[in-house]
Amino acid sequence: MNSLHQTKTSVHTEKARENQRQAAQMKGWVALSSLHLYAQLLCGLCFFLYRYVSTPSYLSLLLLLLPLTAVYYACCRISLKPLLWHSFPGKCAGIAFIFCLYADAFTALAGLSGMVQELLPDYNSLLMTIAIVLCVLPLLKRRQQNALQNLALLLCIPLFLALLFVLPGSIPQGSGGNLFPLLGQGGGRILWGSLWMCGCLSPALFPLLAHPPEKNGLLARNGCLHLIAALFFAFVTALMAAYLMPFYFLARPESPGARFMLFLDTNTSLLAWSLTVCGMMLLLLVSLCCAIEESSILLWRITKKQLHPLALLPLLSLSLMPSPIVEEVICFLFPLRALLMGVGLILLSIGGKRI
Amino acid sequence: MRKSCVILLLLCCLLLSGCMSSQVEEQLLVIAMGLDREQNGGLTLTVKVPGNAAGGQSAPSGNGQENDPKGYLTLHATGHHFSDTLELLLATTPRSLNFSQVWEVVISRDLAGEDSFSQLLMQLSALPRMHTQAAVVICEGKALSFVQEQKPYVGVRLSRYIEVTLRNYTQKGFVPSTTLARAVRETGWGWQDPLLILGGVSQDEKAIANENVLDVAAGQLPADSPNKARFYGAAATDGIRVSGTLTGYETALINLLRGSTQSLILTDAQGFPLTLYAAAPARLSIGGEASLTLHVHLRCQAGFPSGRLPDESRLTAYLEEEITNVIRKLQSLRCDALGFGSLAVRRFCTVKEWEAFHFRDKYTKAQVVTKVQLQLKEE
Repeated sequence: MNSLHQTKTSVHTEKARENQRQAAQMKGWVALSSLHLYAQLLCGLCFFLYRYVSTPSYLSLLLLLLPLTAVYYACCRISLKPLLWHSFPGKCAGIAFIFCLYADAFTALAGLSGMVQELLPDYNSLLMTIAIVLCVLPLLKRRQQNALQNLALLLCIPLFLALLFVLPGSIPQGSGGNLFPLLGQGGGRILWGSLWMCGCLSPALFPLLAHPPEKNGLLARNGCLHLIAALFFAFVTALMAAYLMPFYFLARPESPGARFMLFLDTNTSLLAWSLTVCGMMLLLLVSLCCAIEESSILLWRITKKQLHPLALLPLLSLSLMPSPIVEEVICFLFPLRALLMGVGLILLSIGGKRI
Repeated sequence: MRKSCVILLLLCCLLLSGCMSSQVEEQLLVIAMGLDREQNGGLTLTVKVPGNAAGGQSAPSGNGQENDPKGYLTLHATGHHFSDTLELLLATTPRSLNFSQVWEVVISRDLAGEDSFSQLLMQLSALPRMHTQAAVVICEGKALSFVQEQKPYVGVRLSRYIEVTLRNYTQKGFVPSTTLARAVRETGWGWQDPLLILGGVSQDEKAIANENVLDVAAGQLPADSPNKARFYGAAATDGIRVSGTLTGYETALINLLRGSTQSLILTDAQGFPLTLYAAAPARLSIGGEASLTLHVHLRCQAGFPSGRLPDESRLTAYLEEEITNVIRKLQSLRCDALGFGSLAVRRFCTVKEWEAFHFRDKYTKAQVVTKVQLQLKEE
């Protein structure tokens, strides 16, 4: 892994070295946040959008472009304020974002648990959830900064490979007619689904957590482009689901774990199966870790305290709930996350000192 | 160095697909499954699993088992519904059943004609670790007899035998290519109706009396080889159940129109062989609410001595009549196998408008217009 204390090229000044470190750090943050966004959108599709909107889900995702860029650029502007988290509104905003990120972690964990239960139905769900949460513990006592960000760059590879292997085998099984009727149950449902999915946009908050880009417009634009690429990836996923599955089939009641593995029924390739399952599990694990890491960073910024491992206990409540209730809780959390994000951004915009 | 280790660990994850929580000897790998409706209303579930290689004598039927000389065990149980029949089978087999290697699900024609057919398919696909790429076969007669009759006449493994046999017939166009996953997705949920593979056990050794020897169903093929369990033809579905069957010839013609196969050999009225090649899948169109039109572009290579080529216009009329007859048969069975529904749904913006259109009723009554563009070549 690249260490932030070692530069790739020869530098002549302290400022150039600092700029290189910040650029490398931003690159890691951008990759991690893009993966986190894709994972949350995928969870949104499987827990809510497929059931509520069905085949036009890709249109709901397309409508997220504007709110995504708005949230990202608002964060970029707000992050330029010094002493952002020291004011009372800043601290309140931090708490709102921590709840939002906890909801992200809960969603990713629910998705991952659902997938594991689908693959291993004979095993105890509580033990499996505990095992997953234990994977997150080393994050809280990490030695190397930005380890997760560095790992994110590497984890993009299995996901792209999975898509390359799955697509050619699955496309002959689909039909263009499955994309119709274009509006499904009407434009109102598509719009409402899109509004609901605004709760998945918390990964766009990362400019508040990374070191400020120091008015570097190029870094700010690249970050947004990567997030838009993640949204586009989710759009392609939803479009593929619509192409492969008829309207009523996609909307039927089904466990979220089975929805995560929808494409596997359309592909006979064992390699595609392996890549997809491994890629998705890693993706959801990274999303879970990212949410916890960002909560930890925020808690440090507002209270100068580390996140205690016991703070992960509420996530275990997931394994005590039956699957239908987990799904209802996640669906309830979607608009709550969007509300918390909005409140947090408003509080931050009035807190901190202006330059 | 650390990056290389992480990449290596990630690549090792690809090998996990072969892992199982129990040893091979601790479970029974189901290769084929069969479902029958009994006369008393009960349901019989049959599974074929690799048994001991020494073979053995037949045991009495009922909730029992039978060995065949090729080392496969046929187990069956009868209950009231699918779930309790499965429980009974699990209770009476010496090992747990693993459905991850199922290559074929055989359902009797009687059972497939019931309203609960699509629900049965979903129950089958929901079995733990079920191989949803298994072929769905609708059997004329008893599925138990079909599964018992199946043996690997070529090669050693039954799974490989079934896989390659079905692939061979699918490439020739005599059976459709439909997996359990696809059947579940499209039966009752989609805009197009799937065709399922038709199977049967040949009983009669007499030659086929039809003028067109291909125009028969699976069970009517002569029993002139050791392999009496045949795949030939298709079962049509109407969104709820299996509504009828198609012969091998009709299935091959439909596959040619769909573009699933590239060629079809048939014999014209004078007894001359014709090889038909489809330049592209048939182009479908819907005229208003009352007509379905197919534009078919075919090349025909005639195996005639020179100077005796058939009349192109008469051959075109013959092919148009054949294709129209097949479509009318599909209409009578309420089966939209070609995908007119997928075409019609594009005219609507919402599902409510589509449902108000009542496509299936209009489809069954629509006039069929077939236009064949034929290029005739001498061999």
